[in-house]
Amino acid sequence: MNDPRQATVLFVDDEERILRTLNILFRPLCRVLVTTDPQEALRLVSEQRIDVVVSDQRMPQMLGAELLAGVRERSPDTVRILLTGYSDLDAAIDAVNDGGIWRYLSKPWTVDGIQKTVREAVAVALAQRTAALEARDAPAAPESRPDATCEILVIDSEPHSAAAVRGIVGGARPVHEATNLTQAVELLGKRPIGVVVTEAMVNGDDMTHLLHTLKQNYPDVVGIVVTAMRDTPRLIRLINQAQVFRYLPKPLRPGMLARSLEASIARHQEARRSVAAVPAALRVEEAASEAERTLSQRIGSYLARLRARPAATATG
Amino acid sequence: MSTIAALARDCVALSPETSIAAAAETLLDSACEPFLSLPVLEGNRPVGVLTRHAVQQVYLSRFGRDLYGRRTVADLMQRDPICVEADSTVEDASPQVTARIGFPIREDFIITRDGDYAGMGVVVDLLKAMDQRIARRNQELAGALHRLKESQAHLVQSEKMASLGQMVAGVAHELNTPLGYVRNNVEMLQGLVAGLRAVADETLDLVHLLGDADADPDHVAAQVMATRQRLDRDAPQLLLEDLGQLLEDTIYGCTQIGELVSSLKDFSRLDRAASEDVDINECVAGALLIARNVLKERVEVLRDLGDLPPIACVPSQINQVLLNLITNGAQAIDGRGRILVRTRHEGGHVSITVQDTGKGIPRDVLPRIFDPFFTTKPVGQGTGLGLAICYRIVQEHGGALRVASAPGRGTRFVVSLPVSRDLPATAANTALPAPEHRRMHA
Ligand SMILES: Nc1ncnc2c1ncn2[C@@H]1O[C@H](COP(=O)(O)OP(=O)(O)OP(=O)(O)O)[C@@H](O)[C@H]1O
Ligand SMILES: [Mg+2]
Repeated sequence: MNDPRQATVLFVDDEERILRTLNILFRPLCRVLVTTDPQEALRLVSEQRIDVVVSDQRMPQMLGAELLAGVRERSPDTVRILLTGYSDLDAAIDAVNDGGIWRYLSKPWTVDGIQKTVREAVAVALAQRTAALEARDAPAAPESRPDATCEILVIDSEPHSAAAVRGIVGGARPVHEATNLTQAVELLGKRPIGVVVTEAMVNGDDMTHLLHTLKQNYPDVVGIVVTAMRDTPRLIRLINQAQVFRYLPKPLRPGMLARSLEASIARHQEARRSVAAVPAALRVEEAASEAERTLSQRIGSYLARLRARPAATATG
Repeated sequence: MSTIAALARDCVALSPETSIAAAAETLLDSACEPFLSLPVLEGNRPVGVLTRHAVQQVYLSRFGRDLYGRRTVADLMQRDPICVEADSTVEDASPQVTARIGFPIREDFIITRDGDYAGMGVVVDLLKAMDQRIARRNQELAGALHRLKESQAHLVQSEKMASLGQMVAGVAHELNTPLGYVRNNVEMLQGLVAGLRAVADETLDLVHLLGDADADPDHVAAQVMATRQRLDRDAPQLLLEDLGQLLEDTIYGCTQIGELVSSLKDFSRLDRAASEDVDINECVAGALLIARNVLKERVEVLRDLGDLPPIACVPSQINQVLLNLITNGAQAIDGRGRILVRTRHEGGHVSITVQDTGKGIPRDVLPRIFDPFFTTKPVGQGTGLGLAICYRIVQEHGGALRVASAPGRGTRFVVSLPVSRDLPATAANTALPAPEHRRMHA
């Protein structure tokens, strides 16, 4: 049942020619469904097992982010990808926060690029499904770990974010604060951090790299990025390379932060159970440049030295 | 900050007991030349001024000198001198002095510090000082006006940039969709061609073998197998079947891209500022294409385009007007709705109607919609310049822009342009309209 050719990928776009070309491209690799109608897409997702959905953003009846949020509701294990012709920050934010997308792809795409992404998405979907089945067969395990071990790390050079998080979490779980990358890495090494709330840039360091490395080594760590920057390419990198879970504009709205934290903690706990099954290479896209890779490696080896957590040995 | 102290001149002071004859002598002294009057002090307190005029009156009257010569200054002085505190500003002092000064001017004013005499002030000096201040003010005002004009021009520019940005966003999306499938098709075809070439090579080998009388039958059989395998593997039948469709789609996509690019070019028409023979229906088609981004999802467009004569206008500006009106219409529609665009040739005019099924304009708002910076849209979403610019452009074309609205049902804008007239000379730089009366309610 883990044969990718048995997997089903659904493409949704209001341009039939897009659907036709994608259908021909993917037909040899997996089972392909296509529709121009988002309602039809939602119906398909509710009725049958669909492993991956790839949706356009701008469609007459519904926006892609909305559709993917609907897919997530109906079938949380379906891996969601947005394929869009124009990068618009608000759409991307909605796609992350509501649609919970796994990748953000731009039109025009390359055959190699889209094939690789969809192939990986299928592998992730299959691995998640297997893990979910196993978890169901071994019912005792999930609650064995008390949820208090999910600690929160806030990385920001200014104190407001940490104060806001503390204001919400109260004494329920430890909240750690780092004002630079070194402190952050040290804390990650010492404490069982489950959720990282970080500014996009801290003291000139791009936190995408840290989140990317974390995701590779500790896939159960969930990332929330808080920032006042309106920078679409950065958000796209955060999605594709660091699997950011929430992207919150500053100034932070307490209600939104509270909901995001709650969802992140839940996501972390669920991830402990299932994500370990996904091979590390599939979780995030490779960081692009040489410089990014070395920074990634540096953070990674530092972390490895500091940290001897079970999750690390299990997956790393 | 210049104070009155700067105007103080040294001057001989008189005492009330001084004789008028002595005072007259003093006045003749060249040191007193600048003054129309001399201060009269008791100790340091000014108690009056003795004016040159009063002394002259005495001396010009018959026996005046004999009658008055021995009397004292106290008898002849003006007992209510104009006093100004040394630390008051030129602006404050000036009205005090002018309110009191008579015509013709016969006295100077006394400058005091805490009530004590500190010098004399001459009206001409005060006037000069005021003049300088006014000149400086004028300069400041001119500077401020210049900056204001610049920032206004900047705003007009940024409104243009904002709508350009929106347009580019929409067009980028429109372009990337056909680019997406065209590229994918071509890449797949590239793979297919490589496969077909491999098949062709194997087939050629096979043909050579078949033509070779000495060929080993096993070898020939193996080559037949190899060719067959190549065919199966590298030239998937399925793709071949789709080939026609893929090529058709690709050509369709290229046509679409071409159309978009040429309408974008037509739309801005930077190479054609003013023109004699513009087809307004073409402008409408271009504007609708460009506005597709705002319209696409929710707004249905009805076109009712009449037969129009070519008219003289600046097409890029007419496009800007149309785009603004269409955008406004789309923004007035919550959820789904319709926009009707109608063109007609009536009398010597071409009229363009843009009518929407939007929320309409309340009666009390209607008179203000053409005002620069008037907007009911949230901060950051509207500059309020759209209609002001439309109005100006239409006016420069010798036309009229009218509006009628039914709150809750929709709004209709009608642009009417004369068919033949002189082209607007400076229509290229659109400034803001002056706030004169310029509305007609249809
Ligand atoms: N078709 C319409 N329906 C309803 N209201 C309109 C319509 N067109 C204009 N208005 C009203 O007139 C106001 C001024 O319009 P104008 O185009 O000058 O500026 P704007 O649309 O607010 O801003 P901008 O054009 O810079 O986006 C609008 O804010 C709106 O209240
Ligand atoms: Mg407008």
